Amino acid sequence: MKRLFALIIVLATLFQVPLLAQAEKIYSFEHPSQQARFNHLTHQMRCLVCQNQNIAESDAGLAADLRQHIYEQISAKKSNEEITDYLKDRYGDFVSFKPPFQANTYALWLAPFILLLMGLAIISQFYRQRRAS
Amino acid sequence: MNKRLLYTVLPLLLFIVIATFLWLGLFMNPHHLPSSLINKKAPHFELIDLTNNKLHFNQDDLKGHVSLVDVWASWCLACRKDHYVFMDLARELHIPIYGIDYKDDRNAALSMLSELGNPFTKVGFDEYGDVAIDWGVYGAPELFILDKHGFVRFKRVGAINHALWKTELLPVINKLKAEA
Repeated sequence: MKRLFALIIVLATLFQVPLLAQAEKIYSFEHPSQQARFNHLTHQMRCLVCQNQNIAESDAGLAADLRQHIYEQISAKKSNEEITDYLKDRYGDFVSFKPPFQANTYALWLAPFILLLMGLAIISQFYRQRRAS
Repeated sequence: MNKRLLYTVLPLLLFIVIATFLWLGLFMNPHHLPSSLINKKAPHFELIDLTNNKLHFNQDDLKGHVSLVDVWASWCLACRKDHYVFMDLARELHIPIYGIDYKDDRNAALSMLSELGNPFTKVGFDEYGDVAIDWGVYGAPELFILDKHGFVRFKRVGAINHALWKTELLPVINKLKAEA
């Protein structure tokens, strides 16, 4: 009985994979490096409909449109920077999962380091006091 | 003594700062994104009119008057509700209201216009949503208000209604109308 169960689960898992793979349009490129860039860019860009998903993984219509757009831009030999700048110009910096380092994001980028320094200061203070006593 | 005070007050201060940010975060809507088009010229585009395929709709239509550009679709329920508001506005406002029909089926869109009326001076038919990407659109309905020089000055994402219209959008239009 247990074995049968295991078999069913294994089979079910096996047959699911191709179904998932077909849910998305497959893009083919002339060169594998273009495929790599496509994967990189679509993972780096935010889907603005379902905001915590990137456009590679999102099923939203807009994400599909933006995948198509990035595909066309790569095929037209545009650079990564041109493609991301185009999207940022239209959807704002929010469209990228990597915020730029500029006046309104200094706190965001620097806070972790400041907190780390504060933590180190507290720890060293703690040990200095313990040694003194 | 001074140091001890610091150690008791500092965590409290930190807590207050973090709690304030989290508290404010509760009332923010992450779907209200600022448009990066604000105070920029409307993007270049060229669409064929939904109701008359000899007619073109492009950025040149947006110059010389304050205008509205509404991104809508027949499959979008909120747009259907908004449509009644736009019908009233078309009668009262005396400024052109343009439409961009976003990723729609032509027949469905046309039958919605013949059923509910057509408030639009022109309606561009953006079948694949390409022009919408240039406008930074991420979901219908979206409404843009443009000034006399064809610059985008205001954007609203989501449904509108008569009350919101009076309190939020009409003041913007009147201000833009008063500009040189």
